[in-house]
Amino acid sequence: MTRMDLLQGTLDLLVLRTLAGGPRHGYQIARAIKALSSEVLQVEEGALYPALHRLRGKGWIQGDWGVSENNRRAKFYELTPAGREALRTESESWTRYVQAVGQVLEAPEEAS
Amino acid sequence: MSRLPGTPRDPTREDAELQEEMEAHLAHRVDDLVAGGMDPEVARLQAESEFGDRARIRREVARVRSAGHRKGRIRETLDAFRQDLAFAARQLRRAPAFAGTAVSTLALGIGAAVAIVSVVRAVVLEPLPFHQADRLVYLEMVTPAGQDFSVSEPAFLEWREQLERYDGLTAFSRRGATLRAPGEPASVLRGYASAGFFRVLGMEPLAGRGFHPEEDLPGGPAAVAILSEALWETRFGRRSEALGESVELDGYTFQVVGVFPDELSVLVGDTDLITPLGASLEVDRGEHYLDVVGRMAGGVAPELALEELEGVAAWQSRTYEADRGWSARSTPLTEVLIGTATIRAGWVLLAAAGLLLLMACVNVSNLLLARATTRAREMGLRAALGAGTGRILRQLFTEAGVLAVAAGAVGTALAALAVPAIRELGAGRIPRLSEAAVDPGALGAALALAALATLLFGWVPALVLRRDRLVETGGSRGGGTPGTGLRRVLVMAQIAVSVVLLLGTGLLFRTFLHLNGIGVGFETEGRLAAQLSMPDQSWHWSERGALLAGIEEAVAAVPGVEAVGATAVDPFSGMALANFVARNDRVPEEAALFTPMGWRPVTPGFFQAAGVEVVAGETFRASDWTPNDDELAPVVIDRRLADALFDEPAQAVGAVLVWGDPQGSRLRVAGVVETIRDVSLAEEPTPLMYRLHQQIPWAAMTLVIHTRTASPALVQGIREAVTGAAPGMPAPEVRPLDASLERALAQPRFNLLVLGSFAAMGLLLAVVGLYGLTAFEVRQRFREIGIRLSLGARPEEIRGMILRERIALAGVGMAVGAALAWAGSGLLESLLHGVGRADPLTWAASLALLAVTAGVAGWLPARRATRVDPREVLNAE
Repeated sequence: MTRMDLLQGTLDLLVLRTLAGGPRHGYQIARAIKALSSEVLQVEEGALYPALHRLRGKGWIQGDWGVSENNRRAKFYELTPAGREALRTESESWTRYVQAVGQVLEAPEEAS
Repeated sequence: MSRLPGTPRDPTREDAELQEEMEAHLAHRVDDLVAGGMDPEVARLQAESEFGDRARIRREVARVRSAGHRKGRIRETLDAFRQDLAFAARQLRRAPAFAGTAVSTLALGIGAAVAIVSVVRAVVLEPLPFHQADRLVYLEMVTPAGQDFSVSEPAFLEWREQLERYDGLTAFSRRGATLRAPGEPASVLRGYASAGFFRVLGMEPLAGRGFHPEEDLPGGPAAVAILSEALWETRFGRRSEALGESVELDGYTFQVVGVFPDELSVLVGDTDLITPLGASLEVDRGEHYLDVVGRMAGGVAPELALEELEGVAAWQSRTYEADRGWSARSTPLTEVLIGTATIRAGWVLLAAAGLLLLMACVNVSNLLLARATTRAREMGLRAALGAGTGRILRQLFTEAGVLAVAAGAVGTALAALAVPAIRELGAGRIPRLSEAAVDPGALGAALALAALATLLFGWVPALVLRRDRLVETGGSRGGGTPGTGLRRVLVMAQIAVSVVLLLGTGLLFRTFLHLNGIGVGFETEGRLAAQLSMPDQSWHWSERGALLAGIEEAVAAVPGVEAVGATAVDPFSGMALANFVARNDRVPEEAALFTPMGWRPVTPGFFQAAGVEVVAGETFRASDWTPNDDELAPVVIDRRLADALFDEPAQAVGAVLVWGDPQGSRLRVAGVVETIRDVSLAEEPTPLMYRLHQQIPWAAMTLVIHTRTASPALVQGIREAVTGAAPGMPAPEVRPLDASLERALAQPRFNLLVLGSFAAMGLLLAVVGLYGLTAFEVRQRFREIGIRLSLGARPEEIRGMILRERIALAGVGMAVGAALAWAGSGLLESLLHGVGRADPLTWAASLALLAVTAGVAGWLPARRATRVDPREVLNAE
C-alpha cells in the first residue's frame, strides 16, 4: 500500500474530525490521524501546528494547558461550537467533492 | 478557569508556547518509542525526523498567525467584546448586592442631576421668549431713600425722547377692569402698553398687529385692544375673524386688532387684554405706576446705556420739583422676571445635584475598588494564565460600562418621575416651572458623565491591580490591602459632601420654620378675601366710598359673616403702595428728607375683620370723615412708623403728619396698630400708614371677611350680596386667606423639599460608603482579629480599635466638609431669612446628625467583627 501525501487544506478537516471525540493534545492528534487512516495518510507531524493555529484563528478550536496521560504538560485542544458546525459543513462539502471527482473518474471513456 | 476570557495574543509569548508545545510532542513520541524498547537517544533522533524542521514550522505558524490577525481583527474584537460583555453580566449576577448597590446609587445620582438640570433649565437658563433677550433691561426710578420705584408717565416720555443708546422703550401697567361682552361679565386684568410694545420686546403677535403710534396719543388713545391667547380662546374660540370684532370693556367698546401669545405672560402675568397707554406729559409726576422695558442699541455696552439713563434722570431731578433727589437704575430684564432669588436657588440646586452625582460616582468607584481588591486573586490567576494586562483592563471597563448603562436606564426613569413631581410641588409661585420637562440634553450629559466617571473609576482598580498583582497573587493576608488608602479618601470626601448638603438643608429648614412661624400680624384663619373692581367708567370716584360701604353692609348681613372690611392691598399678592411722610412739627425743607413708608386705603371695618391689634389710640370710625369737613383727615399708622417718627406709640396719637412733600396735606394720627406683613413674608415690612377709603377712593379693593365657617353656601351668599349691592359688578372670586399664605410659602418650601431630599440621599450615600468600607476592612482583617481574640484581647478592645479609626475618618471628612460648607454658604445667604449662615444651632445639629450616623455605620460591622470565632477564622486560612 502506497502512502499518500496529504492534500493541501484537508488536514484542517482531519484535525476537526479527530477532535470531535473530545480534547486532545498535539501528539495525540497526529497519532489519531495516522490510526484513523490506517497509516495510509502521511502527515509530517510538525505540519499539524500551523493547522492548529489556523483553526484557532478561525475560532473553531480552543486550547488550554493541561497534564497528559504520560504526566507531561501539554496543550489540549477542543472544538468550539463554531468548530463543531464547521466540521459538519466541511465534511459535507468534502463528500460532495469526492463524489464529483469519483463520478468523473468512473465515467466510461469516450473518444475525444 | 477555562471560562475566563483572555487568550494570549502576545507574539513572543505565543512563540514560547509553541516551542513548549512542540517539545511536549517530541517527548510524548520518545516516551512511546522508548516504551517499545528503543534506546532514548535513538528515539529522540527518530522523533525529530518524523516531526520535521521545527524552525520552518515556527515561521509558518507565525505567518498563519499574522495573516489571521489581519483578516479577523474586527471580528475577533467583536467576539472578545461579546465575551467580555457576557462575562461581565455573569460576574455582576453573581454579586447581586454589589451590582444592586452600585446601580441604584448611580441611578439616584443621575436621576437627581437630570431632574434638577431639566427644571433649572426651564426656569432659569432658558432664554426669555424675546429676540436677543439679553439686550433688554428693566428701567426704574429710584427714590431719594434708594428704593426702586415705578416710573411716572412724563419721566417715561422724556426717557423715550432723549435716550439714544436704546433702540426703543416701552411702558406697561395693569389694572383690574370689567369685561362685559362678548360672553358673561367678568373681572379681567387690563394691561396698558405704549406703541412699539412688540417691536421693543422683539416678539411677534400671535395674530393681527401691535399698536400704531397714532393709536397711542396722550389724552386720546384709540379704542383698540390686543387679546391674550387665553381670552381669544375662551371668548372667540380662536376664530381669526375675531380681529375686527369688538369687546366691551369698562363701558367702552374696543376693536380687537391683535392677539398676544401665552409666552408673554412671563412679563405681563395674567393680563387678559391690552389697550394703548396714551402716556401724557400732563400727568402728575408724582404718580408712579409704569413698568418700563428698554432695548439697548446694538453694540452699546450696558454700562454706557445705564450712564445715559442716569444722565437724563439727573436732568429730571434738577428740573422738576417732584423728581428732586430721584435717580434711575436699570436691571437685566431676565433678573427682574425670573427673580434673583429664583436664579440663586437654581444655582444652589444645580450645585447640590452636581455634588450628589459626584457622591454617587465616588460610591460606585469605592464599590468597584473594594471588589477589585477581593478579586485580586482571580485577576492574578488570570494574569498568570496569560491574559494580557490590556485584556484585564478591558474586562474591568466592560463591567463598569455595564453598570453605567444599567444605572443610566434606571436614572432616566427616576428623572421622568421626579420632574412632574417637582412641577407639582412648585406649581403657581415659580415662574415657568410648568414648562419643565426631562431635558434630552441634560439626560445625555448626565449619562455621559456617569459613564465617564464609572469608566474612570473602573480604571483606578485596574491601576491598583497592576501595581499589586505580583505581590498579591495567591492572596497574601497582610494588613494593608491594596486600594484601602484610596477608599478611605473617597469615604472622607463623601462625608465632606454630606456635611455641605446637610448644612444647606438645615439652614433652609430654619428659614422655612422662621417664615412659617412668622407672625403676619393679622388673622388668616377663618378669613376670606374677595377682590372687587370699581372702574371709572362704571362708578365715578365720588361714588365709590358709598358703593363700597353698601357692599360691606350687604356682606355683613350674610348669615355666618362676623365682620367685613376692605383694603387696597390684596394680602400676599406682592402689590404695595408707597409714599413719604414727616412730622408737622419737624418738616424737612426737602421732600428728599421725608421718611419713606408704605400706605393703603382701608375701610373702617378692616382692622376688626383682619384682626389687627390696636397699640394706642383708636382706629377709624365710620363717621370719621365727610366731605367739606374742616377737620384734618384722620390716619392710622403702624408701630414701625410710630417708632420711626416718635419716641413711643402713645406720643403719636393726636400728632399731625405731612403727606408726601413739604406742601402736602396735613393729617391727624387717630391711632397706632401692630405691624402686619401683608406684602411679602420674607421681606421686612416698611413703616405703614392707613388712610380712609372714603377719602382716597381707590378703585381696586379687596374685601376681608371674618366668617364662622367657609361653606360653599356662605361663599355663594357673599357673591350674591356683592352683585346685589353693586348691580353690574362681576361676582368676585372668594378665597380663604390661609391659601394665600400657603402660596407665599411655596418658594421656600420648594427650596427646602428639593435640597432636603438631596441631603437625605447624600447622607444615605455617605452611610452606605462608610458602612461598606468598614465591613470590607473588617472582613479583610478577620485573621488579625481572630489572632488577637485568641491571644486574649477583649471584644470591647477590638470594637474600640475599629471605632476609633472610623471616628478619625469621619472627623477629617466632617472638618473638610465644614470648611467647604462655610465657603459655599455665601451662595445660600440671599435665600435665608431669619437665620444667618453661621447659625450655631444648624451647624451643631448637622454635624451631630452626621457624627451619629457615621458612628452607627462604623459600629455595626465592628460588632460583627468581635463575634468572630477565632478557631473558625484560623482554620479557614
